[in-house]
Amino acid sequence: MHGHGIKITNARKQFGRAEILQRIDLDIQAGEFLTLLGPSGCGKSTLLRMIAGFDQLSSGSIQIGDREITRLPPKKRDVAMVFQSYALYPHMTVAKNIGMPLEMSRLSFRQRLPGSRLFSRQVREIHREIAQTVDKVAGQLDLKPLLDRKPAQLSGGQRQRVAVGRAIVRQPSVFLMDEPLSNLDAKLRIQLREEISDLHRRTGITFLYVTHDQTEAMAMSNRVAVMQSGRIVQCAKPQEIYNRPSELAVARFVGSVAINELPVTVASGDILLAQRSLKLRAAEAPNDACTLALRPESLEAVSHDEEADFTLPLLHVEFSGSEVTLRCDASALGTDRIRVQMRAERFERLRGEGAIEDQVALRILAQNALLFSRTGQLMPAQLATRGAGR
Amino acid sequence: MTHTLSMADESLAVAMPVSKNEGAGYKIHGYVFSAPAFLLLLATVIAPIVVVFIVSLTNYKLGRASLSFIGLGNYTKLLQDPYFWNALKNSAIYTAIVVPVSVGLALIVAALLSSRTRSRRVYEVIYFLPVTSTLTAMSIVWSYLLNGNIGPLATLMTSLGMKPLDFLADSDLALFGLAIIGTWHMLGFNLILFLAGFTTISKELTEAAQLDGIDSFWDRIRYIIWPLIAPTTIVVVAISCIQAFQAFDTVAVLTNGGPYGATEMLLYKINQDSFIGLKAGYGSALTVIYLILIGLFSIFQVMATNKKAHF
Repeated sequence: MHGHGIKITNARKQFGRAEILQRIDLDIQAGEFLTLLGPSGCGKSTLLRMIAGFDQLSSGSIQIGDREITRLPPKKRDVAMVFQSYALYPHMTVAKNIGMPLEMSRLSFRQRLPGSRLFSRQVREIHREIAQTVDKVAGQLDLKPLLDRKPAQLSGGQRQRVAVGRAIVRQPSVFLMDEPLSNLDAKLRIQLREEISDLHRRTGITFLYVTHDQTEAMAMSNRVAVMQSGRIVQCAKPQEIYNRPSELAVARFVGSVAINELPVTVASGDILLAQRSLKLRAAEAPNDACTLALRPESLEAVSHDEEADFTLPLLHVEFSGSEVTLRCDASALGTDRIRVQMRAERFERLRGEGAIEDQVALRILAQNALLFSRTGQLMPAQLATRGAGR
Repeated sequence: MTHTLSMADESLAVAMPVSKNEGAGYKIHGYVFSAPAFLLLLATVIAPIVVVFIVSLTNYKLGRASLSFIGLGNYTKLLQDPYFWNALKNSAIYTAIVVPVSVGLALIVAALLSSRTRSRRVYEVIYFLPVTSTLTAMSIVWSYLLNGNIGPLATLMTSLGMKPLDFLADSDLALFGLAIIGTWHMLGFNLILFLAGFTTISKELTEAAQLDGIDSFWDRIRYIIWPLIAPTTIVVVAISCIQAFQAFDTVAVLTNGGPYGATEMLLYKINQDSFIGLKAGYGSALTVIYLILIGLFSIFQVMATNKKAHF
């Protein structure tokens, strides 16, 4: 347990006139797994590179533990990093790749000169220690049979594991990962995702992980910081990011099935959709045009005799194992498509009852419905089903 | 060429097993299409080499109408000719100075420049200028710079209380003087080749190395740049060797092989014997030796690249 927290205060970065990072404040706890999530070009990799020390901030400061590191060179920051392209040394064996950070930190320039091993017992001793440590790390990562190979002779997953080995071998206090899984195929990605989570639990190092893949972020992190055009929009636990996104942009970005957006009008607490009043009320919301955002599982297909909010033509049914996703034509509601997700058993039962044919009746579940203002901010107003709310 | 032809032939045979004549027609087409390139190569490279080799077996004198074959006579004469050995020695020394210095300096300058972003273009142009200049004209400038009486170098040395060196007139120094000019001329070209080679080292790799503590200049060269640039280095060394062996302009303009044969190099001797001495047969024998040496450099390059290119 030797992870250190990271404290980023008022960090800014400009390239010429373009502002890549605008006033970033982020407080990462020691031993935490925090993910920077955002679309490409949002500045998440830039922020990571600032922490690693490859680029300098225009203003602001970064601390690791109690140390101010804003102006330190990369090797003095006590951070390790895994890159998207693995960035292994192609001319060195796996063992040499993993041992390189140790060789550089434990041996002086003179001791690293060729032949110094022959003359100094101390150098031989250090080399033996390094070999032992490399062996131990290789054992942890299942790399022992591959120690003599060159990176070109390894598969993508093996290469990434070597990169992880090179990063953890010197026991850094902070571990940075820049989209480390995006060059791998889907199955391997899930496997390595689990390995990285295990590694985090085992080492207690602070992990800062950058990705544009929201499922990765949700699956691995203690907290997720969603970034959008150079600022952190929301930083919270994965459940909260999913259930209470602070902005419509976050709601759109998170979730494997796209969130449904309905243009609505609030009039004295009633929510009007296509001039008709929904069975949903937002008592405290001001009168204005808003967006009602519904996760696919916040809509419920009901049989015709039950009270529905709207009935839509069914376009397509998509099976994915235990879940079924329905795609409905929502042009009557002023939007394009509505996606509804439900358990497969429920879908079969409703279809058996004749409730899902070419039309499907839908009801909004109030507890997970989200109301966003005209500018895309989450409205604090409580949503409740009519009747139950009074 | 023959390989692709036979491939096409095979696939055709599989597709149409009946019409064998068409397969032959296809082959003829192949030869017809490759003929221009082959004839050009024959006329400009292969035929002259064959002619040179034949002439080297005769006692032909330039301008004479008659000649007679003397077998390997020119070659045995050549092996006993002290001036030939002197020229070969001078060429070897010149190459041994120019190649390591121009390659090593180019590598260091390239390592320094590769981390520059904006000023890089300016330096590239400055270093490449000597390559674009005419060496014959530049030799005149250098003869002034290195002149032991009026040159700025001599003035500088005198003002420091040293005895001024006259690079081009002193028989011990003249070869070094030419080597300085040769290095100056080749540095830019090697630099550009190295800079191109540097693009194969990814930014992420350099950054990973920085994190691992490989961030000082010499460590970067030792652990990252040198091993990854090895394939480029082989090409650069081979090209530099060939260029160094071809040194002619500076010799012809500045020293004429003197003083006392101190700067007579292979190509200059070939020129002297063939066109001044008019001994075309003997000159051709020298040329054959020269071609063999150049060929050896090329073979070294091809073999080394094949071995080293893959990690």
